Amino acid sequence: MEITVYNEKKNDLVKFVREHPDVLMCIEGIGVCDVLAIITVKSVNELDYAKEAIRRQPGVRKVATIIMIDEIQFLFENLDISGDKTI
Amino acid sequence: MNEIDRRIMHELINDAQIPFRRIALKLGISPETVRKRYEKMKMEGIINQSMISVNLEKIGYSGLTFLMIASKDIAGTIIHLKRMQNIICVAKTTGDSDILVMAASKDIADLLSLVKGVKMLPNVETVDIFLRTLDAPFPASMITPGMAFLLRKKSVDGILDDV
Repeated sequence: MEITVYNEKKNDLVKFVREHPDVLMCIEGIGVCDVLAIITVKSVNELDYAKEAIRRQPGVRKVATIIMIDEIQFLFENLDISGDKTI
Repeated sequence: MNEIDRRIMHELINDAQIPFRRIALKLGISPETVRKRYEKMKMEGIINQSMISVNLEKIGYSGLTFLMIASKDIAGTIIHLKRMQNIICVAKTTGDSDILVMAASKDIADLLSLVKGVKMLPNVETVDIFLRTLDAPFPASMITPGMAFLLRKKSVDGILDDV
């Protein structure tokens, strides 16, 4: 879910979303939205419930949904582990 | 799946590197039973895969970017994306975008190069960007218990075989 939220309420929102057990990821950032959350749901009803719960939080201006329709493919082999710039 | 399977899975989700012997002790069953049930869950596709969790910051990465991509050829674009350096996660989506990509970057040049590369792929129509701000340790701040589960699904088989 791409969430747009007033800055002063951002931390509270992130805390609220991260507390939910079905949330895989919730991070703050800049770009198309202010907070990006990845949430697992079992049905469209659950998705609607989650979206509404977020929308009702103080400071939330917009919640956009992107639905993953396939399993997430992890590609850690694409990381550069050559040591260049390694801390 | 029975209750013992669920409890074994629960232990592995909490700590994917836990030896079978310790699970066996906790559940009051033999290590051989744990190993057999683990293998069965793997065979049946209940446990898909295991993976290690890498601290990207320690290997020189400082940023994490999400790209929401619209493409006229989703399957073709995914094939290209999977070959691109620093792209660590790809998922097919529906909605305003067709593909969600997670990529790590070492610096701003890295990031710009990635975005330019994706935009130049054939059939890519739009690329929206979400850049994770670096106001907290990376990547611990982004990992929820649910994500930790995904990342821990894979442990090191060698360790799991320690029965």
